[in-house]
Amino acid sequence: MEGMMDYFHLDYGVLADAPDLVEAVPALGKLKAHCPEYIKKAEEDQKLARRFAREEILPRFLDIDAKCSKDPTYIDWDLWRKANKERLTLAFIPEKLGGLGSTSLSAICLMEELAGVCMASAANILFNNFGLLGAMVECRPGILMKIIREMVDAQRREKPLFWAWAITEPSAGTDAEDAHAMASMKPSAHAEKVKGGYRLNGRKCFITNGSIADYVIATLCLDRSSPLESMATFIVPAASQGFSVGKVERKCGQKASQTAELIFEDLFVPEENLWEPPGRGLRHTREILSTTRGYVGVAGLAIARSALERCVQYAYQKRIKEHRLIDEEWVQMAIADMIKDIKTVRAACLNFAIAVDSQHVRQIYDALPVKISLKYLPERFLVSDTLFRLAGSRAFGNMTQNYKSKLITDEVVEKFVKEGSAVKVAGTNLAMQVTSRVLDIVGLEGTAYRYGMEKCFRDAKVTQIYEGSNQANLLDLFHGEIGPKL
Amino acid sequence: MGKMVSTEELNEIMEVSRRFAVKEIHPGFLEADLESDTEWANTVLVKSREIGLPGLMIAEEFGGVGQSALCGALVMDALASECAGLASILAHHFAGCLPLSLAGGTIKERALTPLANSDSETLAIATLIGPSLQEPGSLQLVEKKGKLRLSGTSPAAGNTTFATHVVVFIEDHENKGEFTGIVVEEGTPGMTAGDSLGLPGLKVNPFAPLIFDDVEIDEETIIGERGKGRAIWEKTRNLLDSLLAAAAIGTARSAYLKAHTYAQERFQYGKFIIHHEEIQRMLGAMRLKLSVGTAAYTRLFDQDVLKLPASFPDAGLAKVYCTESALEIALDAIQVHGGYGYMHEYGVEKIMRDVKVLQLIGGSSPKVLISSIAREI
Repeated sequence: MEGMMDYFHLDYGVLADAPDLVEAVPALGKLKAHCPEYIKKAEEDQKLARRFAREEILPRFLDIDAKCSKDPTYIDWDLWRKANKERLTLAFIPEKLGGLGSTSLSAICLMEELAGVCMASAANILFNNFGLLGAMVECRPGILMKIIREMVDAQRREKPLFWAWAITEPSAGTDAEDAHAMASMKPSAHAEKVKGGYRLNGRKCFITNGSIADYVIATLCLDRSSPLESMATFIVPAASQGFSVGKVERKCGQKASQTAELIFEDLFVPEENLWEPPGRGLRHTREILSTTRGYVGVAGLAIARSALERCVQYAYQKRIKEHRLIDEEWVQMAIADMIKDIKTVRAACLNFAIAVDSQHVRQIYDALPVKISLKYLPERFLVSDTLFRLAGSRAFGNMTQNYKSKLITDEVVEKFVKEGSAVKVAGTNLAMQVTSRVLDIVGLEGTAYRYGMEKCFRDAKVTQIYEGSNQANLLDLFHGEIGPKL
Repeated sequence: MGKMVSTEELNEIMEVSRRFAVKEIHPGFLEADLESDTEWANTVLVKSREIGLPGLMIAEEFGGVGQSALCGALVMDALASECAGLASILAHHFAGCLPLSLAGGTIKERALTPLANSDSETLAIATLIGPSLQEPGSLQLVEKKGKLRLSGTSPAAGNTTFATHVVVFIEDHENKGEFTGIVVEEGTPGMTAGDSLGLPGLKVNPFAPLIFDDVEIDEETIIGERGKGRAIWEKTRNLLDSLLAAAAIGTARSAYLKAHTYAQERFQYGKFIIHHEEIQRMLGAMRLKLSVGTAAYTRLFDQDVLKLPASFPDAGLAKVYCTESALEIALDAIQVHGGYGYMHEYGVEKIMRDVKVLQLIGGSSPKVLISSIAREI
């Protein structure tokens, strides 16, 4: 593994100096004039992530991939600790509470930069934030504050605290994410009401981080014969009796990010761990998907970008008789064509991110009380037991939930599912297309393991499958855009 | 090239190959892929001697079966439906044997007799290194004190760890645009294999550059005449391209069948997914590509083709079409399988990886397209 990426010579992409956000999408310049802080934060995050990707991920990602090929349960905790030190693992938590305070826009920059070197390493560092996102979408201040405190406390002590979302079941992929499909779903897992709580039984599969999670947020139905009407969401501590991890999958790519089977056997969860009551589980899943699908689009974009950058670097140094590979016309045409697609999809991704900041869950930070608190309250009060108790109180909870339900209506959720699906399909199809085409340019020798381009090709395919197969995404897009007019 | 046989006989040979693939390749191919296990491939090749596979395209007078190139391609299709990596080893072997069959001189019998693998104790496998058009002077054939010597590093070649006969074509320095073909036998001092590339697919076939350190070349091992190898090389390249095209279609055929079966078993969205129009469209597109791809590679061996303008059979272009179609089929087959398609144990993602490498051997698609026109002008 010595001399990895020794063919990187051009001052381009990951080697170039960030930030180039406004350069990439010049329309942001206008926004920068109006909201300088907003763009500045995104530029800072981009700079941080690019440096981290270059200095920490680039030298070791192939080594990690090779180790995970041998042992799918291997994790490079040293890399995680380094990311944790930079608070990349706490991106969505406000700065005053100990996080990075990323906006949706700046988080997309983090994703593009980190996944632009290694998608699986980026997943290990950033996906954990989605547990938090789930709580934010839910807007239950009690749970949210509890999560924030616990994560910040643990990770300050360099102890990872991982979340996993358990939606997919062996018998239900698309069926677990769509109302029409869920109506006829054949559940592999279910919950039953018992005294003081619920008893969970069954299996979940392909759960990212499932094998390392401290908490699993799982959707399970209470009545197998009417899953849609009885789907609920639970928080399951991995330490619960009756919780176990099945096999950790051997995958084609994204090997550093673990995918596991989870098994619930007479697992008891107390009443307070019911996150969403029966019948609300799907809505919760849709809320999550309404933001995460856009991020998977960025993941696809980032994989495409990493492949293209490596191709440019390779073609720049590869000599063929009297010239370089990059001097050949067909290579230049192909590279330009891919840059064109990457630029187009990037603009769509940033557009989506800004929309999440301005019209979706991130608006909560614009709510006056939240804004004032984060600005003026001292840090020690924000993480204090007093505020914690207040946040957990029923009255405060109801107040914020009311606020949230006015803000994030069903229309908002479905609109963002639609928009996110478009971005997701565009980004992930681009990933597959570019990673394959790049190998055509560099040929058999450039496809050797050490150049890292074949890894991009292996990593890309699953992005078209997870977070709803692209076919399911296209259906959502159709039903969101045309459906209401029919 | 080879004897003419009836369709029944071809079907019979394919059937034998298919049974061999199911019995000998299927049980270990996934594990072997995981471990890049070339030992496993070696064991299968040894077994394949029982049905005469290595000697399939070698004349009967040297102990071979004397079958046609079409037969060789159909056998590729059958073997690749279990493991394209294993098929690719025999593709390089068959292609490596062709120049020897076309050559005269003593080398013909000396090399083909062991390569037919009919009665010798040890396995003999050929491989092929085409003229390197990439690095200037990477391989050099020079005359020193009346002796020919070969030096330099070859482009990546298949079969490296078990090849007993390495057939090399190199550019002739005195006669631009011409090639000299030679065969370097196992144990020749100065020939070693470099590090394996670690390609994403065809993992049981060790692709690596071969390093020649001032290797002395026996005049007898020159294929045909020195500096007159272009015609033989072109025939050889065409054969390799057509065999790889057949292997791509064969392995894609198995991706299609897996997807078709799975679609009948998987229940989602209120029905078995094969009842969804989008899945039907995908399966239909796969079948279209399979049937056109099969036609494209079998037509290469047709003696009487219609004389349509700009449509003469071209092995390079057929390989482009077949491997590209095969990749599209594999990608859609994974998609039909959903998350399961991405997991190693289902053997579908392996097809995607294998096909991508098949696509790159001997020059990637855009390169082949460009040279198909450029070499005419």
